[in-house]
Amino acid sequence: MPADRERSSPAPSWTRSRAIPTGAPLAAGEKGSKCRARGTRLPAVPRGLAVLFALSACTGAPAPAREVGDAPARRIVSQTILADEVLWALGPAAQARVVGVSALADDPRYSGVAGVWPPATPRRALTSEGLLALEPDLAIIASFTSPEVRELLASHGVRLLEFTRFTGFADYRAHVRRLAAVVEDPPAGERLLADLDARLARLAARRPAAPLAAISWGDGHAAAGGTSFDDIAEAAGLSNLAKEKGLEGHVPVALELMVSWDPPVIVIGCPAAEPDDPACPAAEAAVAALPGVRATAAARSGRIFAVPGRALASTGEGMARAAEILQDRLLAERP
Amino acid sequence: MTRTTWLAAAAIPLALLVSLGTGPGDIGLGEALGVIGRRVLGDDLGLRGAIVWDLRLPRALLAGLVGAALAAAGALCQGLFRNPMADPGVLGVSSGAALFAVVGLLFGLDRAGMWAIPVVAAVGAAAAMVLLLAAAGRQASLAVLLLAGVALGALCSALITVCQALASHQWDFGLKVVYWLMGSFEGRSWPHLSWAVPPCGLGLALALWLRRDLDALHLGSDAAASLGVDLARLRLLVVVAVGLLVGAATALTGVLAFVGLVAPHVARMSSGPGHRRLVPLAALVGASATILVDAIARSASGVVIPPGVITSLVGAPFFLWLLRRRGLRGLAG
Repeated sequence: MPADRERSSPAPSWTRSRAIPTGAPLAAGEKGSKCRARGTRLPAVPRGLAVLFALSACTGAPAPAREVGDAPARRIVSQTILADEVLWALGPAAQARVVGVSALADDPRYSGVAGVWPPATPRRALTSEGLLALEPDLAIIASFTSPEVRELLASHGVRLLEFTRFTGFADYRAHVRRLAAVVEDPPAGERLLADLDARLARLAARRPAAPLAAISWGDGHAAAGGTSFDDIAEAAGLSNLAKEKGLEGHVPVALELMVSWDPPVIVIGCPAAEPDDPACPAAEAAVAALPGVRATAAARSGRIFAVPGRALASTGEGMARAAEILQDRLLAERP
Repeated sequence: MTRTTWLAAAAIPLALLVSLGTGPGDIGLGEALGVIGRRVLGDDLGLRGAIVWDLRLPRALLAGLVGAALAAAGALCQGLFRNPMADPGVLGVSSGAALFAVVGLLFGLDRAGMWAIPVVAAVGAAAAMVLLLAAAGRQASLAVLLLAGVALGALCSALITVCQALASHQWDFGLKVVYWLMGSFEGRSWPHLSWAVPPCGLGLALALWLRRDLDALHLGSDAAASLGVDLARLRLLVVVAVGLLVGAATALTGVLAFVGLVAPHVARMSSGPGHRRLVPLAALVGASATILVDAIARSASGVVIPPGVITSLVGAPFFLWLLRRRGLRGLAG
C-alpha cells in the first residue's frame, strides 16, 4: 500500500528502547528478581498456570518510548521507499550512513531510485533477523511494520523512525528536513527542497488560467482532499474533483458514481517507470473501455491521463514529477 | 409450473426494477426505464444513458444469471451428495477458478483487457473439474468424489495463499486479489453478460434435465440403480453442470458465498425435496436474491460493499435460523 494512504497520526514519531543490553544482570528489585520469588506449593495445573503468569510478567510490556529528537545516526536501515529516495538524494554523506534499503527500492513501479543504490547495499524485507543482522542504530520503519519487529528492534537498542503523515509537499518538506538532520547534513536537505521549489515555481508559471477538474481514480477508489494527489493536481493546474465533492482521504468511489460526476479529466496510475512506456496508453485504453466511461467528458476529449505509479503514488519528489507529466499532457493539447 | 414457481419468477422483474432504480448515479426508476425505452429505439442518451444502459442494466441481468447459476449448482450438489450442507464450492471448482484468477493477477494478465481474468478463471474452473474427475475416477463413490473435491479446494486455497505470500510486497496485487475474492459486479457490463450466457445456459439446461435422476437418487443409490439410473453418468453430468455454472459465475464475478447453499433451502421450504420443482425454483430464488443483494451493495453511497460480503452477512444467520427451526434432517427434506 502506498505510504500516503496511511494518515493515522499527525507527526513523525521517534522512539528509543530501554538501554538494557541483552544478557545484562538485573539489579535487585527489578522485574527479574520478582520472577524468582517462590510461592506456596500448588497442585500441578494451578502451579503451571502460576508459572505461566510469572513468565508473562517477566516478558511484559516494554518501557515507554523516549523522545530523542533528530539525533544523528551512523547506521541507518530504511524500510520505506520515501526514505530510500530521500537518503539517496541527500548525497554521498548520507548514502555512506545507509546500511540497508527497502526490498522495494529497486522496483521501478514504485521506487524513484530503482537500480540506483549500489548492489553492495543490502535490500531487506521487514524481517526481524534480516534487519538486526545489519546492526543499525536507526530503522526507518513503515506503518505496516509488525509490532513484533518493532519491539524486537527497540529491545536491541535500535531507534525507530516512522513517518505517519503523507498529505503532500508540506509533509515531504518536513520529512526531508528530519532525514537531513539525522545524517547531520541539513544544507543538503535545503538544497533538495530548493530544487523542489524551483520545479513547483516552473509548474506555477505554466498553470492554465481555468483549472479543469480531475479525478484520480483506480480500483474503485479516488484520492480526495488531504492526499498527495490534491497537491499534485494543484501544482499541475488542475482541481481535485473528489475533494470538490466533499470527500477526504482515499475513499471508495464506485464506477457509476465516478461516471455520474462526468469528470473532465481522469487520472490513473500505470505500471511503468516513464509515461512513454506502452503500459501507460494501455492503461488509459483499459479505463476508457470500462462501461459508461466512454460517455464522460474525459473520454470524449481524450483526457484520460495515465501517470507512472511511482510518481502518482509517490509521497516524495515523484509528486512533482506527476504534476509535470499531467501539465505536459494538458499543455500538449494547446493549438 | 406451480403457483410458487410463478411467484418466484415474478419476483425477478420486481428485483430488476429495484436494481435499475438504485445506484450512486442519482437516477430514479422512472428515468431509468425511460432511458432504456429510448435506448431500445436507438437514441444515444449521453452520460445518463450510459449509466443506465451500460452499467445498471447489464449488471443486474448478470447478477440474476449468476445467482441462478449458483443456486442451481447448489441444488445439484445437495441432490447428488444427499447432503444439505453441500454447496457449489464443495467440488473445488470455484477454488480452481479463484486460483487461476489470482495467478493471472500475479502475472499482470489483467492489463491485457477485461476479458483476461474471466478467461483465465474459466480455464481454472475447467482444469479443477478435469482434475477432480481424474482424481476421483469414473466409478468412484460419492464419498470419494466429495472428499476429492474438498481436498482439491484446500489445495487451491493453499496455493492462493502461497501467491499472496510471494507477492506480499506488491500492494496493488494484494488489493486486486482481496477484491476479486470478495466477489463483485462492479464494472461488469454487456460483454460479461454475453460471456456468461452460453456456459450458464448450458449448465442450467443440464440441471433441469438431470432433475428426474436426482429424484431417483434421493431414494438411495441402490433404488436409483434399480430404477435404471446410470449413477456414474449422473455423477459425471452433475460435475460438468456444476463446473459450467460455478466456473462461469466465479470467473466473471469472483467468489459469492452462501447463494448456492441457502437458495436451495429457501426453495425447498416451498417445493419440498423433489428436484423436479426444486431446481428451477432454487434458480429463480437465487436470481432475484442476487439481484437484490447487488442493489443493496450499490445503494450504500460512499462505500463499496462487495456483494459476496452481503450474501455471507445475510446468508449465514439465515442458514443458522433455518438449521435451528428445522434441524439438519429437516433441511435434507
